[in-house]
Amino acid sequence: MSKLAINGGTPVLEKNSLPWPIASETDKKALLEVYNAPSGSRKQNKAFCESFAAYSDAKYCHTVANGTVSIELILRALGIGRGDEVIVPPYTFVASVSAIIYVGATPVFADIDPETLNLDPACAEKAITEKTKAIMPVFVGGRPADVDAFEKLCQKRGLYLIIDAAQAVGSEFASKKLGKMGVAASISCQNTKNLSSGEGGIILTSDDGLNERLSAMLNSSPTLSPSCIRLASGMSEYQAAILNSQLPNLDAQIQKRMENSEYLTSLISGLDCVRALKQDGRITKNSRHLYIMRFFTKELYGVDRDRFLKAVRAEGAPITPGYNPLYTFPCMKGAYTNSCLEAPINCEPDTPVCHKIATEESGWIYHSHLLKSKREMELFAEAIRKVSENIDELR
Amino acid sequence: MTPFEKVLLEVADTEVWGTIGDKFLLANQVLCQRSGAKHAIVTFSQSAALESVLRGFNVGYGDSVVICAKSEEYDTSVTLAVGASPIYCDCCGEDRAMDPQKAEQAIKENTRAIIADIPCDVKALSAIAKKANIKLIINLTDRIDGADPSLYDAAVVDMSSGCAIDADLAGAVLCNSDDDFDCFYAHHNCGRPLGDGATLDFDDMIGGDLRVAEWQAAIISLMPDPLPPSKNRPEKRPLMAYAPLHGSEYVKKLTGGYPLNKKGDFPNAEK
Repeated sequence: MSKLAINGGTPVLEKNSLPWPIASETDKKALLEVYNAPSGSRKQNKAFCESFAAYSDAKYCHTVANGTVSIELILRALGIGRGDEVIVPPYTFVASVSAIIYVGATPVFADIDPETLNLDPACAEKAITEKTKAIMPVFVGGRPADVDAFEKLCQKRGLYLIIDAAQAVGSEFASKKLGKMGVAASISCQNTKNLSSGEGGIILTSDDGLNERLSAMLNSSPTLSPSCIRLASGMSEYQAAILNSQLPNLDAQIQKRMENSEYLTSLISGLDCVRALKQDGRITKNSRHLYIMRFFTKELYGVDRDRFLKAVRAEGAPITPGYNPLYTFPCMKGAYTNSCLEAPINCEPDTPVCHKIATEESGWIYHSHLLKSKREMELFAEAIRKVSENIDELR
Repeated sequence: MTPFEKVLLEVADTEVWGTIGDKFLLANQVLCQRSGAKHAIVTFSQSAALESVLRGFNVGYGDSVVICAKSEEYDTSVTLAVGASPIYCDCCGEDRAMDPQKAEQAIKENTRAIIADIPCDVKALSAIAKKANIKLIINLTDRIDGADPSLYDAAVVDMSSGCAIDADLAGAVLCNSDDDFDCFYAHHNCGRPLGDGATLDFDDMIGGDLRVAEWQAAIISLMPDPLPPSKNRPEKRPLMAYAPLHGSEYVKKLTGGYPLNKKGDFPNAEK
């Protein structure tokens, strides 16, 4: 008789998702306040920028339409465009790269560190050319990349360090907050994010010059004679109101996710087929947008990761494979992409670590599941254990 | 409680506050019904709408776009943002509408589109665009019913604060061609076609993120009938042809550079 749920056995736990995002009565009140406010008021945006700048230790904060636009605006404000290159990891959401393409610069992929899944500073350094203008590590899953190494590298080579913190609101590296990292950090408030307004983005910077240019680009006041490209890329008052209302809950949620992540790590530490990412004492806060693991089921059992995770999901544990490497997507060498760039993207980069991890090893749990009980974390680990102990059913 | 307040709370109680929710789909339908266009895509702003159109029409580096010397700022700024060069033409009449004759004279070999703000002679411009085999994009400002959809290839609408439909910050694309809609849609949603959900895998279309949040979409889905007059949408037609931004190093980098205009080039626009 089958033990595995995928073959008809009883699952370890009932599939249940925690709703996300969650609206409180305060959130609803905030929405109605906006609706009844005078048209054209920017009160909510102003209030959020002040609070969030303080929260993130940034000198300046700009609310924008979304996390893709925020990267575009940073690139434009830094004067990055056609003919320039930006180094970026291939293990990320497509927006990290589409923003670079949309300003006419060429993304250059560099490999990731297998212990962190973040851009490897040594690999980034190898990818620098005379056209490189910036390096943009992505804090995948909320885990900060090696900010110290990147800041040293960028200073040494005269490059901008842009932090793609789309998934990392609230994360800290060596107690340094996002507002003090690189020349700017970009955050997403899209529906699935830890701090969500449905759609939305935030730019943090402590650089006076960059702030001045961003302010000019985002200034919506009618002007007779603009001196820079200005785009209506701001955030609506409704979105800002939700963020204002939700911000006070953020730290408590991050704390719970970190505690549950630590617990889950201890639970899976005894299993051969899976490993949590390496701990790094310099990461003082990990927003844990994702709990990321590496699965070695192909090496150990001859069963590929996707098949293994399908069985784990059938047991009720919500673990998905994660990103495919961006250079494998046809759009990276599509006609439109090539028409935007001076030079095409190298879609056969030297990124063997990314390739192996993305296609064979990575597994994710989304942050909303990390707000559940410790018992649920035990059941997630139990689901992995059960499948590994009954692996013959998958062969 | 007003219907608008109810619908905002309704959205709050779903788990979908953005990334292609029900209100976005409904708002698109309502825009189609009210404008007469076959397709609509609500975006986060009017400039976002124009960006999805220009990128969807493959207008970019090496191309030019005919724009009226006195025109809404975003006609120029979005053209530059996608890497294309503006070619200005004079206006005519008391309402300073794009002069169709001057627009036709401005067309060059690398011209891909005309962007005209209403009020303008859409019929005349449509004939000129067809003859030159280029696209006609109408900036409807905040009047979704401001032009006959059969005359334009695409139109963009402003639904920000002070507009006839005040969703605080939103815009929309209107078009009739299925193929064009697919391209505009993909450019607005990370390269994903309609119906693909929030997939992490992407095919041959690259796209940005020009999506609207459900809050604004919900407001738009309840737009009154008939459309109210504009509330206090400010006059937004500066003399863009002479704006200092044309001479900036960054604009040269994006577009490859283009001839700059000087005072006196567009006498009607200067009046």
